[in-house]
Amino acid sequence: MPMAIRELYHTINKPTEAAPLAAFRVLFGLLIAVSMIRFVAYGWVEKLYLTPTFHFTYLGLSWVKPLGPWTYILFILCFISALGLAIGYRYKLSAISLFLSFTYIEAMDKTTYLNHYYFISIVALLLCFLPANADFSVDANQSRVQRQYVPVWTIFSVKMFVGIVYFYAGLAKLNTDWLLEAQPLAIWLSTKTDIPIIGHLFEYTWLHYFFSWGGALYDLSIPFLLINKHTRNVAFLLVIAFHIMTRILFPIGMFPWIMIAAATVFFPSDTLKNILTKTFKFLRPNTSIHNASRLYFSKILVGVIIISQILLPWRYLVYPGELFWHEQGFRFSWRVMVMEKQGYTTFRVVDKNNGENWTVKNEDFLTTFQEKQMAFQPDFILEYAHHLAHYYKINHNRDIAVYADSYVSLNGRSTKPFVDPTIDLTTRSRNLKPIDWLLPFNDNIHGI
Amino acid sequence: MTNKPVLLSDYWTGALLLGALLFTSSCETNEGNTDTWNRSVMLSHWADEIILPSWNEFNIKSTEAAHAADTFASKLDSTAFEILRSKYQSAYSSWQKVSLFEIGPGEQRNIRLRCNTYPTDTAVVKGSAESFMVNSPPNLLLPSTFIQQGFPALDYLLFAKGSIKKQLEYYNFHPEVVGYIQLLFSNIAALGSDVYNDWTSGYKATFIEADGSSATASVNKMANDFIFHYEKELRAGKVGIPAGIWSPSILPQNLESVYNPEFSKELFQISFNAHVNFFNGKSFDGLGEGPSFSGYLDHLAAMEDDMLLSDAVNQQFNESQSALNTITESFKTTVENDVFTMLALYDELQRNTIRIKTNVMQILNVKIDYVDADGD
Repeated sequence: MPMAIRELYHTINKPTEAAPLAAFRVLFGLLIAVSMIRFVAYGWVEKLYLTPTFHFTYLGLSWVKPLGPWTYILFILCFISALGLAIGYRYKLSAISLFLSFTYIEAMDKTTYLNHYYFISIVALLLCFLPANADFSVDANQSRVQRQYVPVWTIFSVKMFVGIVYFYAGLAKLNTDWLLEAQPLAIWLSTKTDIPIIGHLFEYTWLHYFFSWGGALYDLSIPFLLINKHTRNVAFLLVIAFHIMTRILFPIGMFPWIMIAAATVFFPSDTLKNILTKTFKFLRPNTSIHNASRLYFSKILVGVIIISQILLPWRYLVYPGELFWHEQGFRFSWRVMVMEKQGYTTFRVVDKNNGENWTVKNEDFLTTFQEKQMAFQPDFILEYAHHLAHYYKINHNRDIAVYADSYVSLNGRSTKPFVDPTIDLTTRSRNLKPIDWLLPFNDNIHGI
Repeated sequence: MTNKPVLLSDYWTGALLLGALLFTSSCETNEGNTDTWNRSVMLSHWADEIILPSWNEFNIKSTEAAHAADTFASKLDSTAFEILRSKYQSAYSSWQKVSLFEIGPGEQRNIRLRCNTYPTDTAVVKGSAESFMVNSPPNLLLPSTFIQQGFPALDYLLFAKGSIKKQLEYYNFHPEVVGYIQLLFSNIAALGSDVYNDWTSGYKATFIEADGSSATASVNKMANDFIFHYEKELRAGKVGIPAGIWSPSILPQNLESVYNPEFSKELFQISFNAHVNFFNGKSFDGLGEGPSFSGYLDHLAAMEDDMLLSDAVNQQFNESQSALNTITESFKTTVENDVFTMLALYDELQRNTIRIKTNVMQILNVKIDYVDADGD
């Protein structure tokens, strides 16, 4: 092995204090637990999972469906797992159960897809392989874990992942709409004039550009500012300011708090250890073992997760056409708040046997939220078209062709026809191949 | 120790940035902002010049209709009946101007469902009317009774038999029916006056005070109500459904005012005008204009290709009016004999549905009110 690689290998395996992992574990677990309570208390389980009669599924995961009233059990399971994770009780079991229950919930209906839910799933997955219970945990306190130090790479992998999320969110903003037109922020900010103190500023175009450029610069630089000890304190203040700003401006729920919490993993272990010692002293292990287990298996899996996170956002390059238009490769890529898209899509069905035709009332099949999300996302449109064909076959024994009448407005552009209205969508199947039934965007958004 | 100066300079940079932002923000405040769009001025204009006068007129017209029903009940002659029919038509016309403004007190009372659910269930209406007893009237607050009350039920009870003579014969044979007619009219009048009184005695202030940009603020709600009403009531209810857009065949029996079919087009025209006028902030008396969605879009510099988005909307309204003008027969006759002319009107209405639901809502940054899940 060359010297440099050996050295690197040695460095990433060096035992270190587990405090950053422990602090991350505690904050993350508590915030997820709060999120679950919030979700149920807002009645969203009912509204998003139980009321709809049809659910939009992920390709390959169409078997993941809400479980009727049992869906609440999923949320309870997720809540308990999150608490278990926070206190580090039966840590591995808690982490796995959190990952599975949370991911199952998210996969039940992709209408609710949010990047920050995906973030939570990936963090939970990472935690399944990280020894975040090595310190300040019930497990450690009850001597279920034997070593209180962890290899350096375990903490670094979390920093790496948080860094990827920010950096890729920044890359996604490097396009002409964002930088040269200040879109979609111009649309979102222009009407926010009622925000106290600074609201009137949102009338000004320069502010839209200031926020656009500032946001891109923030996302691209914050991982490096956080990792550099000289800039870390300022960076953390920026993290707080940035996320509180987004909280004021946009309805983004728990996301700001989760990202602020995540940024704490960049703090030096001494700082975190001191804080944890003051607050969670009762969870300190009685004995102290200053070496770390090697975790070969975990190391490989975590490496695979991180590498896939680096690669996955680039998959859109495989697809021809404008990403914001066709959205193939848009999700799971940290393209956070980079576009404003509104659609209007209705379906004309034709009975293949007698030629009878009519337009479908979307409200008979979809909730308002589902219809809104369906209207501009091609994979939703196709899945729904298939559902309609299935529905009329089963309930009315009709063989129907389904044509979409679809219009989309993207980032303030004039509304344009979206789906080719001459194509019977039942002749297209759901797969990862490039879509051939959309009309061209006929405009250019240059950038990454 | 060598770190110290570096750290300090970083704090400096941060403080400087924050300071700069605060400084520019306070500077701007001092200059004053004459070009800020003032939502509360727009809401006041809507309330004072459009919504309240509309409800006021409906209150008056529906009360007059109720009185005409009482007069007819005591006289039971053709003169009183003709007056009743004409007062009914005035009240129904006036209804078309308030239907769009269900927000607040109207919504609380389900007024749109109670006044204008059609097609009415003729079997239920007939049954209730002919067995009507003053001492045990049906509970018209129940959602299950929405299909047997309001203008559509009156349309049936006042017009289904055809000529005045036949109507009078019918009432002669079933005197209970007149009592039911009185009940329906008095219910509409009570709703009209309750909603109007709520607006004048407090809701107007509530409406104007909610001048924010959140999903529950008045502008957002009115935008939702406007497009909902345009899409569901005007485009679908009055034109699309009868023309068979959502069914394999035409449904002329689902037309508004189906028993008095010469009236459907007029009702459509009044409702259509209410939408156009509201979009452009035109006062109820037709004399002035004030801040409106149209003006707000212009303020936000919203364009569609090379023209103002508001102009594009208005141009399409004109196209719809032209399509309406080509309909020379009643809606019923047109749907039955020449549905393509009716579908042409639908298509023109549909173009603005698309434009408003995508581009206009996007620029106004309107949330769909019943969707309050998180974004990211």
